[in-house]
Amino acid sequence: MPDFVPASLLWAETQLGRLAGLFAVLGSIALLGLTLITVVAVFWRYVLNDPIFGLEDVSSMSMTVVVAAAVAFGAYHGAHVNVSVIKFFAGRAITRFTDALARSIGFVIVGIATYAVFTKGTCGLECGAITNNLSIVHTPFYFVLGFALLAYALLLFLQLLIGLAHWRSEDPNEPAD
Amino acid sequence: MDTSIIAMIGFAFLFLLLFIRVPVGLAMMAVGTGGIYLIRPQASIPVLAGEIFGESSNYSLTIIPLFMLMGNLAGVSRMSRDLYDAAYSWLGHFRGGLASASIVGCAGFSALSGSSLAAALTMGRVSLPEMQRFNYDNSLSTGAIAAGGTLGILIPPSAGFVIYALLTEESVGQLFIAGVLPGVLLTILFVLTVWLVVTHSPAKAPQSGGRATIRVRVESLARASWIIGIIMITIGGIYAGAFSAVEAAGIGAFLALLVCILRKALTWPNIVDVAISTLKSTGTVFLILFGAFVFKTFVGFTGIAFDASLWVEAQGFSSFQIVLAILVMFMILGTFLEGFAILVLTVPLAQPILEALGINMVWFGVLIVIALEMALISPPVGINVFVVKGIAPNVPLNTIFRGIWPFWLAMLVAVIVVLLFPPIALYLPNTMF
Repeated sequence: MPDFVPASLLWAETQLGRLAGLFAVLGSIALLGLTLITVVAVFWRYVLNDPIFGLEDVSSMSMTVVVAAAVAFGAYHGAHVNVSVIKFFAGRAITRFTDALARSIGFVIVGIATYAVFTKGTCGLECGAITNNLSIVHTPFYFVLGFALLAYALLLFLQLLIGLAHWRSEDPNEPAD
Repeated sequence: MDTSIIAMIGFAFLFLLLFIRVPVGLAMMAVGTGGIYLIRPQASIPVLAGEIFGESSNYSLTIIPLFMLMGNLAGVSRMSRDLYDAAYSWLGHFRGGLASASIVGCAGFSALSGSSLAAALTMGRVSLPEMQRFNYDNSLSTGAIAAGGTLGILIPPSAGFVIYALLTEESVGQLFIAGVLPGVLLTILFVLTVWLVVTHSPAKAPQSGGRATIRVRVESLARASWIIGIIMITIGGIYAGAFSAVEAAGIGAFLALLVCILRKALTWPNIVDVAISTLKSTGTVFLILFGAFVFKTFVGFTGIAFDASLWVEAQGFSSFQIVLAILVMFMILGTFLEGFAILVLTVPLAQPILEALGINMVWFGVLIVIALEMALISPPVGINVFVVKGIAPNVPLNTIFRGIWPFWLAMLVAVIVVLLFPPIALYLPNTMF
């Protein structure tokens, strides 16, 4: 018989799915921007022989948005690889414990990373966290990364709770091969 | 506590975390942060934040999402189909021609995509139904696709080379160009493998069709000229010194986008598909990179790599013996660890040893990437095999793994050839502008 999963967990999962979708939109726009910036840089440099100063900075910061979005979106869609050797040695009776432990550890380290990124990002201009050419302050980009990591941390916590709720049945978020 | 002991405990913990299925990037991040905390407590949080932001905003790494985007756009624009058709028209009449065409198609697609998974998936979707239609043996057809897909990380652009370049501070452009001739060599070896398998067991590949006329062959080649043109501009541009690797990636992605628009392939479902695939692949690589660089800093703090290089020097091992030992270790690790995980775990340790022995790191990079390809198809966790399983759900995993062994041996031959004849990897980088 399937275990009982509280409706609040399912609701939270839906909301995180929406958040992942928002990250996907943000990331896609930034990716398109990144492509166009690179093309513009090449055109101005090689065809017009007039390189645009500082475009590399804009590329780097666009890239931060792409990466933040990709990490959060990838997390929701199971893109982060793990090594699934354990399944050759143990069945669900064991993996329900190890998966819970793995998610707890994952939640803690991503939580610490979120804290680290927000803390360092807050310092901003005072700490000299600006780009080399255009002096773009890093703070907002640290924050985008921080929110992406926060979303990942929440997802791991949610998957931990859902895994515990499915203790006696199959885990819907079983790590993929 | 002695830093070497902390390093040993760190490695043990890392393997434990990997064993219980903590995502690779997070496992390295956890051990790296914890290890740094034990050695220099004040540094752990700033290093963690600094490495995450540093890799996210690293200009050289913009190459990864851009080349992923280019490969995915090539997939939806049906350029992969054109490539396969061209290969089929030239090779299809040979025995095993469909399998050979799949491999050549994979090699061509690999020149547009840095991902072996994308190459296996895209060409597999095109070529597997054809091989099944002509009653090819399942082991041969799936094995050819899984192995052919691995060319994605050897033939430039290659995500494997980008990560290796980042870890060793070598030039991405040089590594890309170094992968060209070994990639061609491996493609030829794979085609030869198909020929050998089919000669030994003709029933595995029934005759699939007659010889195409010259007109058909030229027409198919003309249809594939889009993809060939993009490859020439991007990879040729890097070789000729016209573009940096990042610029080539941006131009390649833009050209692939233009081809999609011209071919009216930029439909909403395709846009969503491309965006999702690119973001997922990018997310996969970057989480590993975050963890890898935190872990690399931890390894640096322990000084274990330097100790290891002193130990190797004291033992008097030759450079050939060391390279051989690392490659064997790589192949063994490949049977149970994910390829990129092996790369980011071993390269920071191996680099000081190799550099002390005067080994060319570009040549070693090519060797290690071929070994990485072997990991991608080695049982039980060969990730390409699971990709092929995804597009051939009716074929048992055992059958796929059985079909892979001849190709695995071909890779071993490629490793030996590049090991014995370094100019195969180094000739083009040494002549590039």
